[in-house]
Amino acid sequence: MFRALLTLYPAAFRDEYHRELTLVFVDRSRDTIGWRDRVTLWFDVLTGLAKEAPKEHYRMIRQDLFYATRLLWKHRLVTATIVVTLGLGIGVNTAIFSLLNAVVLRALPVPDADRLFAVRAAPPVASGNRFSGPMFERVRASAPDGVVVAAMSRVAQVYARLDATRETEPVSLQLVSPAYFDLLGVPPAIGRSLPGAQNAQDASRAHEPLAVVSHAYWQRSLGGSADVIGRALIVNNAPFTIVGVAPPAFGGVWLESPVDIWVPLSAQDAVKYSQNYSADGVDATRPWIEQERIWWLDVIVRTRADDPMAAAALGAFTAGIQQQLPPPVARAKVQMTVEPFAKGFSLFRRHFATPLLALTVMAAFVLLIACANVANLLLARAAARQREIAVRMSLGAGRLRVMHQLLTESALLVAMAAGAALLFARWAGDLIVRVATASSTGAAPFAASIDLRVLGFTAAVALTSVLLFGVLPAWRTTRLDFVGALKAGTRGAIGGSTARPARLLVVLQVALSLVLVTGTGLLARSFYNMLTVDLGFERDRLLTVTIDPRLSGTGSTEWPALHQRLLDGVAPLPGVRSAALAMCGLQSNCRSRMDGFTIEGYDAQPDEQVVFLVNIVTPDYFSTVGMRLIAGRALSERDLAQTPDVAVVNRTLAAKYFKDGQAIGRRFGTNALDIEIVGIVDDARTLNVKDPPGPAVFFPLTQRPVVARALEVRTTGDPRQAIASVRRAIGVAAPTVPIEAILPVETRIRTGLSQERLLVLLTSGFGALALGLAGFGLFGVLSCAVARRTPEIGVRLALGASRSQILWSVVRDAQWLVLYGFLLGVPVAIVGGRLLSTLLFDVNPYDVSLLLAAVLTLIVVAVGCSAIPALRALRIDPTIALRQD
Amino acid sequence: MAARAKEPIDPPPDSFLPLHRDTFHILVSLADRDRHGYSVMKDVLDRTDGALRLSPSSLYAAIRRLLDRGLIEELAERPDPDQDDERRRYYRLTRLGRAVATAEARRLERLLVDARATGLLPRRS
Repeated sequence: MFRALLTLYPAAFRDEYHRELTLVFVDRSRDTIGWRDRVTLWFDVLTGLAKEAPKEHYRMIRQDLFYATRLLWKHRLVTATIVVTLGLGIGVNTAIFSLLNAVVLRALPVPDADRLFAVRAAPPVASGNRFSGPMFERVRASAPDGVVVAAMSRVAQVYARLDATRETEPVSLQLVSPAYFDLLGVPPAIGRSLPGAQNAQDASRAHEPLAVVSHAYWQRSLGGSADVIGRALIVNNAPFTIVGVAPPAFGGVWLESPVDIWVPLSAQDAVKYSQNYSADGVDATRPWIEQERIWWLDVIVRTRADDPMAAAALGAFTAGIQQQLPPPVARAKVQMTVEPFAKGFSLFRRHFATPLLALTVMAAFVLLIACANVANLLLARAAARQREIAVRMSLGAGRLRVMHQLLTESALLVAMAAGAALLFARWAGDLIVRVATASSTGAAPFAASIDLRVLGFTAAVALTSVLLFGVLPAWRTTRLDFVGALKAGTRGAIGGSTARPARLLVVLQVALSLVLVTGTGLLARSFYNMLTVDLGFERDRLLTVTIDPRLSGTGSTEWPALHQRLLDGVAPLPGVRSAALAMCGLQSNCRSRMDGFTIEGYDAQPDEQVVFLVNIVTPDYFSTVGMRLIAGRALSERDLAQTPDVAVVNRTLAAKYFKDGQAIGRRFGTNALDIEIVGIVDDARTLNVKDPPGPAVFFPLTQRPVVARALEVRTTGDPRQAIASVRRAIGVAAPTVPIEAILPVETRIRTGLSQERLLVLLTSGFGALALGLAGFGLFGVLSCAVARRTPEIGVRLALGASRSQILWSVVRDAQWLVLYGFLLGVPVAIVGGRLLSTLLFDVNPYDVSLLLAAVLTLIVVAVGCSAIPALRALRIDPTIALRQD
Repeated sequence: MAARAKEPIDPPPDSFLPLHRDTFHILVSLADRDRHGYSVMKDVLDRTDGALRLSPSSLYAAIRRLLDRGLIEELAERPDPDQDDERRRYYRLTRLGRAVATAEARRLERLLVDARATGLLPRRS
């Protein structure tokens, strides 16, 4: 057992004193009398071991670190090359992981986030997992003791200013129920939360126009002083009183939409919140919070500590709601679920999770390539040190001891690289978030910060790197024939024993590079397809203006006149060909849908929902945006409130619901077949680039008096030149209507593809890096090969070989390495393409032309990198080469 | 005429002070004769009346440090008839080691004098 304990010592110490220690132990054992002496002996052995073994390990590590530092400094150039190569490899992994951490892994900055759940329900309890005001109250009333329930709207952009200032600025707002802050466990930094959750007296204040502001907004725009409490805040022309400031670093529960202002749910009408909802008939005279058939609230709960999975709460909700369903739907079966809410909501997470996964894999490939390069460099350097190592081992240094020294050098290199990687990742992470969320100015909506988890990941990657590139060279270097190594001298130091693993590593690099470059090609082509796809409307020379007449203070009865003034003011402008208004702007992801239609001659299936995308437009809409009319007529000025209801549908709707697509003259409606189809337009991607067109219907604005949120302007020249004049014209026609955005449609399209752009940028960067590293690796191997073959080449030249034959032999060497790399890489690239298919837009993942392009790219790089070694081979002087032998 | 290699100059003994207790006792143990490891251990145990028991680990860790600093040197292995004739490594004080041990002893002696002078310890009659 004593011998077993000695293994706790470093190998060097053990090798030196193993026998002596054992002898001393045996001697002392012999002198012990009785069990007390034996206990004392073992106590001494164990305490001595506990004290001295760590010291010996520390001493050895310190010695190796000192030696490694000296050696790395002596070969500064190689050290710098390795640190930069590894730093890039680790850095890209850390940057991608920090983004993954921020988007997918990190929980909300609230206590006990794992006890937060979002409530989900199917109709009739909810629609699209959003609840109506009365249904939320039923859920709240059904909650068991200790379970806190809150509701919130989606985040909306509004305009706000402090009472004492006249500067209105766009800010983000969310309407919440009184228990919101208590549920999340975020007490205010200053002041108090919104009232209504504490007690009955507090509840009576739940409808007062009070507001809580975020810490960031308070610092940024409200002066950052405590006297903000009690001051008036004008939001969309409605006055509120600030009662509290949220704690720092809390911006709500939407990852990419931090909130500036929280107000009560009852303020919905005051702030004119009317988005992100679905409805079956809206009574404009009553606030939304009272209406059963407007679904606009997300409901979240905090469970009790003894019910971590919310099972008891869910049971209570389901039973309670079932009993309370209002008469029209009282017999419907209540189906409710809860989903973990620890990480909050995020559309970015939903859309970018798969691309992030792809990026993580690609970053890992880059690291592998970098490690292969470093391994080759270390192999070459270790080969040059064979004589030194042979001397050390022949003087008694054990193999493990020497390996420990070599691994310490590797660890030191990795530690320096990891430090550089963290700096790189910090900068890159912020840049990536900005590009991904299209936040070119101002703060990024969330931070891909370096926290403990990211640091831990970086450490794990660094350790893996050491194992990948450090162990093999250390193992091979210490497995040598002393005599041979001592005799070999410098020439033998560039040993053939390291050539084979180096070549294998280059083959691996070529294979991985091929996979990365192919992936880059697929994503780049997909992005190009997205940029150039026929959207179904004419995208150039088209300006889109986002307005909100509801904020102008005009009532709904005045909207038609306001709409007309806008058109009359903008359409005649020089440089403007035509203008049109619409409820939904082009490419704005305005998912205004209506369901419950019945269609003449169409029998819907029992479970089928007839849902149309709806837009409400002025007569010149189709000609202004350039949507093609393929049958019948467009909407016209003759379609008025008092004339029969008409609509124009798109090709998809006509084909789906009418035999042979003959929809002209046919009728549909919700309560009766009272809408006549007068025209069919070609399909258009009006929501965004990626979503294929679904069934869509266009109603005349004169027959559906809603507020128009978009003004589309067809210009004769560059739309950017018309921005100023259009802005002025709107200012004259409707001075109180705020303009939320005014930009060319092309710009909006590109902004909508920011995540795809990011993916292409990153994968292109990875592909370029991989090519560079693989080329560098190939260059290194070929250079070593030429140097090693110098005497052979000299002999061949002396015997009459031509320069071209020598050149071909070097090139052939490179060719085989690249070919083996292709054989390994092509199947992996094909599989990789298949895995990327969900991210591709109109691209065949098995596209042979892209694979061939990647192969050609690698061949070009290989030829370029083998040029210098090949030229060196050509310049060998046979007489000098022969003397080297 | 061949040049004679100069002997390395020893560092000043005082630069090693104060010595760790274990280290001093090991040097004292080697002052009168060469010893192997167990012999040192037994000698220290006897001289301190059992107060200082060096474990095998502590002993050889200290021996390694003393060898590294040049205070002791290792001799060729030879059998110890007192210990079943097993071949053991013997150690001896170097010149530097003896100087350092002496310097430490004098330092401790001065402390003793000071302690007596202040009445902490009874003066010698």
